[in-house]
Amino acid sequence: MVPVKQEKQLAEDKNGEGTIEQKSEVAVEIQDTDVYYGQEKAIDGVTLDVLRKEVTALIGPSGCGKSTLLRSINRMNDLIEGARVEGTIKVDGEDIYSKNTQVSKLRQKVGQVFQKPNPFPKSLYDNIAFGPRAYRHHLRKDKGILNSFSGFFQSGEKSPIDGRDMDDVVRDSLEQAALLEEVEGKIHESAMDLSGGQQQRLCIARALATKPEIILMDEPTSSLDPISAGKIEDLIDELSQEYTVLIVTHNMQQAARISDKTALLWLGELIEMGNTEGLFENPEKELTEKYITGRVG
Amino acid sequence: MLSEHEKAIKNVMMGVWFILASLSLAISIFLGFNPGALTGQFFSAIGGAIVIVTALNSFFFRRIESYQPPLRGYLLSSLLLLLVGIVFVFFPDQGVALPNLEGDITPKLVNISLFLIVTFITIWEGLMFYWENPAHNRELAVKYFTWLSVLIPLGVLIFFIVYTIMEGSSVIDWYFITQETDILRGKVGIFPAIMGTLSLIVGATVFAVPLGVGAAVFLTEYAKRGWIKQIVGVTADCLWSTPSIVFGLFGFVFLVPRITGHSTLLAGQIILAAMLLPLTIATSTEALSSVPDEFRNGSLALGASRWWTIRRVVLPSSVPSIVTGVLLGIGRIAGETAPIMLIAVASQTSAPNFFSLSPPYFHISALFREVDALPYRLYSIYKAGVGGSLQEAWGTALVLIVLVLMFYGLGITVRSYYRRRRGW
Ligand SMILES: Nc1ncnc2c1ncn2[C@@H]1O[C@H](COP(=O)(O)OP(=O)(O)OP(=O)(O)O)[C@@H](O)[C@H]1O
Ligand SMILES: [Mg+2]
Repeated sequence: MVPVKQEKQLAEDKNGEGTIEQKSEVAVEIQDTDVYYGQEKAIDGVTLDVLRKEVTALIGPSGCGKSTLLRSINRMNDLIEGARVEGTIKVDGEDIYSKNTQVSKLRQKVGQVFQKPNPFPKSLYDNIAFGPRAYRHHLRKDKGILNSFSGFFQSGEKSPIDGRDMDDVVRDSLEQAALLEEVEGKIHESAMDLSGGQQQRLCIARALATKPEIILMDEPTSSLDPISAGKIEDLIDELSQEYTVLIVTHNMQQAARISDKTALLWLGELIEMGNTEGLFENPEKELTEKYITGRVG
Repeated sequence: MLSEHEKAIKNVMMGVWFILASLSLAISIFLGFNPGALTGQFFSAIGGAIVIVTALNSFFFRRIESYQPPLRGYLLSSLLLLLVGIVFVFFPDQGVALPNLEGDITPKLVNISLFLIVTFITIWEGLMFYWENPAHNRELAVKYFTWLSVLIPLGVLIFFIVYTIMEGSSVIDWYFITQETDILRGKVGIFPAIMGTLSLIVGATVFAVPLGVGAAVFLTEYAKRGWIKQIVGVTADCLWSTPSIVFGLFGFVFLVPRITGHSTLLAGQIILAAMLLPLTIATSTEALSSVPDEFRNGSLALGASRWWTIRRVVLPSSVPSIVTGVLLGIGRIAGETAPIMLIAVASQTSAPNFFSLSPPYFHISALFREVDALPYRLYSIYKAGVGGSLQEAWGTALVLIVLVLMFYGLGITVRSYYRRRRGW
């Protein structure tokens, strides 16, 4: 049997709740959503809630629509020609497919980590500062052109998201992504020189720098060796204290180890979702049982 | 090993081989027999014979001897190449003159043809040698060929440069490159031509690069429809292969009357920009589409806009290729005479004068004057004997080559600088 993650430090969760004022427990609310690629229906009537500060794992066989579902939460599906979302997806209670949604703001709030590490061919520093700088660019566009020059006169660069020094943002993000120690002194060197696992943690750090609430991860460890993958798993565990994580994985053990909730998708439909422990130990549906024990899929 | 049957065939073939060899040798000597050109005749005759023999050898024996590395053919043709090469370089006028009706197959023609044929045969033999030798890995044939294809152009280039340096360096001094021709003192200077060419290049680049890169960005990042891309691609290819004199004519008929009515720097810049544009579009499109989508997705997922993504991720990653492409294009237009001849240049003009130390420091009017240009100066010296001696033409050519190479050097520097930071 796969080892199941223990109920997370309950006390801490309770404490945490107090600090989130008026924010509902639900970070992402997906209601009866279909996603089409042209005529083909890739997601069929999925309804599920992702709870705040939990790790939710999406499992299911290849081609069942996990990535599609993930991408529709930060509207990365918009980039795919012919992709269409029907239904309602709410992040923080706001419909993200409404006309007023600012996609930039949404993506700043909902970070994504990809299957293959994709750091930019820039320094580590510039990689991490990328999100905040892009954010500033959009802010300035709102404020008018004169502000564009304000950057030249400031002594140190500040993150426009929380007003902290960019240097601190970079260091904190690296620290949070458990990478700081390894790259100390190399922050201004090219990110391309890092190992795959380090690159992936850099991508996580890069996502953290925009102060997201939710982090989407699409098979973040599938291109890594077991040790690097282990480090990322530990990191996800750590991050779930502060962030909501939605992770796609093909690895049952991984899902069991790191997630609080698990959802099984099958041919675009949600088969079963529940506490990871429950789902792995007594699945309600026969299909779930078969899938997690590897008898189908 | 060869079977008995194969050995028999081989022996027969050897006989044929020898008969043919002696026959062709005889023919060559007979044809080439005219007194006073014995050295060349000798080489050419042997050459002619062995060429034929080697060719036959490679066509017939290959099949039979396939177990053995065909080293003999390779060595033979290499040796032959050396001989023919010596004749070609040092005794181009000696040798066989084939009688024909017009009498225009001269020894020179024979020698150069021999040289080319033997070169190809040698390459062929070499490839075969590596390809068919089981002891060698076939990679070696590829490697050999790659080296050849590097060495031959490099050799040609070095030859050109060395030759130009030998001919031209004697006239180059400080005066030559920094002053105008002084007729009274009889001193020639090509400064106006250098500045003219530089102004043309800079102007053309300033017009063409933003437009070309802009078009490429539109095509790769925004235009969803494939057919727009294809139309632009085909158009760019057509423009690129349009003869440069057509550009010149177009400028003369259409552009010049609409600017000042006479040749101007501006007209030259615009027409050269039009020539540079297709290459800029093509290389930029190529460069932009080679940037992996992962980078774009990474940037967009962080909340960056499309434009920010292009500016901060896509363009910086493609700078090296774009720069290389543009510099190649510049190398081409810098040496063009045809398009600017009718619309921008005149010999013996002074250097374009954009800047002065007294008000109004910048003179836009320089755009509306004629300029001199290096390729045009070369052309007028050769064709009309205007503007200097032949020695000075070589000097001008040398300056032009150095200028173009400087642009390439710049391109390579920029590229390697960015390559180091790219890495995918
Ligand atoms: N860009 C696209 N264009 C058209 N169809 C697509 C596209 N991406 C995915 N699909 C289709 O949508 C369905 C779901 O694909 P998706 O990538 O979401 O699966 P997945 O569960 O992530 O699979 P995997 O585990 O292999 O990553 C598949 O049938 C696939 O063919
Ligand atoms: Mg997927």
